[in-house]
Amino acid sequence: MSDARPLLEVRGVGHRYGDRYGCRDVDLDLWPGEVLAVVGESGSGKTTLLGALSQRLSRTEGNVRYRLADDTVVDLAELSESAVRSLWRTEWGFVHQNPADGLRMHVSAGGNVGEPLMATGWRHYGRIRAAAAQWLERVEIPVDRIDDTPATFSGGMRQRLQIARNLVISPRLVFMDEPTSGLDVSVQARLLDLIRSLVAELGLAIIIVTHDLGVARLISHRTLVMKDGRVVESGLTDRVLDDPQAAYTQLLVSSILQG
Amino acid sequence: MTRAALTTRAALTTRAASTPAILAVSGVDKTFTMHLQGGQRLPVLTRLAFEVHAGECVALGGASGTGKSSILKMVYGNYAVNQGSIVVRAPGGAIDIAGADPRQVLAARRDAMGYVSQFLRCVPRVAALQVVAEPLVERGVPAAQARERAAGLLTRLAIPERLWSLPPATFSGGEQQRVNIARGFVTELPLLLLDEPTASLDVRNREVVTELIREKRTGGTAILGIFHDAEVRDAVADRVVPVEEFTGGPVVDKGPVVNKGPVVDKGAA
Repeated sequence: MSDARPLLEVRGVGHRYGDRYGCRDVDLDLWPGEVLAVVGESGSGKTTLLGALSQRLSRTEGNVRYRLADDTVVDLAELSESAVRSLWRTEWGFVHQNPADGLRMHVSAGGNVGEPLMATGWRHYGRIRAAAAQWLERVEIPVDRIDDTPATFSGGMRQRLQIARNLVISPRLVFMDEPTSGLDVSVQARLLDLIRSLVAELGLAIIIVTHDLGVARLISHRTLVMKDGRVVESGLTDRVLDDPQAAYTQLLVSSILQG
Repeated sequence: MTRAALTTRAALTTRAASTPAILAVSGVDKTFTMHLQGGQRLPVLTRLAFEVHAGECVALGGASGTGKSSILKMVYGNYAVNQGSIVVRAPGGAIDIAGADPRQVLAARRDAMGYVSQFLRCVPRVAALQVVAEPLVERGVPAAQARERAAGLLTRLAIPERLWSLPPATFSGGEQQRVNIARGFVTELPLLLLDEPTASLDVRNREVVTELIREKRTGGTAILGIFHDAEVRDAVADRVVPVEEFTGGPVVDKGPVVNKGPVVDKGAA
């Protein structure tokens, strides 16, 4: 986290669905190696914000500046579609809540992990397969399942496979939309632990949307609390959760069931 | 300064007086605003001020509910500060935690201060040995060396070796607390914050922790702690900051006060 400049600089970002704002007036900086959690209840605009930042939704207002791997800073709105596609191939990842949205369900596990490598120019079959096998191991999927399709996997395995498919290209920035919410509690813990250790090892930056404050506490450095499309509070994650300042954050924190 | 020069209390006192404080708290106010109770304001501390120098152990004194834990949490950046400054002298320069942004607070935690909370917040699936070694690994110590130091501390704290590879979530309260202490003591940072480190420990382990605290102090660490156990406090603390004097409200039971060193320097900053 010692880089002198942020990876992502977000100023006044908003997205409108017709007359209604999905999110509005969002400012944030994201640094390499940093995990930022965006929390709030459903309808608070967190997924809209993720879409607007990742260029999956058109932005209605504001700007997002991104520092490329070669250190030049670009305004994402000014990038061509093909330049954005190239970012997805080489520098960005997106982990969907439903693994089926991020995986090819009828392609083998090895193919799912190898495909992004082929898209960046890998050609040697043996090497691609070896890299895929290595990643399956890292996300704790038995390597002997390499030729099976994710359609035959459990929910937790599918989600881990989706993570492998995203991380195999060594991205610099990964967007995650509720990556653990469809999973059993024990499977969630395993996935969070995996994400936590991969982040520490690879030094990538993550923006993770979650409604689960426990997830935010476990893996994020900073937290942004959203309500009605706006950021109501932000700061160090443990500060936001242990000494919430905004009325809405206090409500959110006090609503957690004590386990 | 060498370690040898720090071995006597006299040397420490001289040093404490002549060097800038590792921790300087001044003019700190803390009020909790309870929005869910109609915006009720709960003033906890007003104009709190004290310093902690290298090689010095300062205890926060006062009955429970006076805001002692809140002070530790504000110093660690875990609680927000309404007013005043909390300057921590990190190797890279001084940082005012009260006004620092999240990245600066994280940097101060990495480079300047450790914190032993009352309870271990367990990360699922992570083995006890790794829980203790982690702070070192995060600071760039090679994994094998980090594990070795972690093992040394766990041994001193009488955590049986058969438990090291298990996640502490299933341990007893006392065992979890000792893992927590080991994790807090494994690093060598200028400032160490201790919240009731000996609560829920038996006599033997209490003695070990007392010894660990004294070793840290001798090594030049500045220590700020809450010690309910009067025996432990007498054994480790150089002086006591009477927190109730900063609560602004009526003074409650002061509890036993040790007075070994100079008088509380609440006016110093």
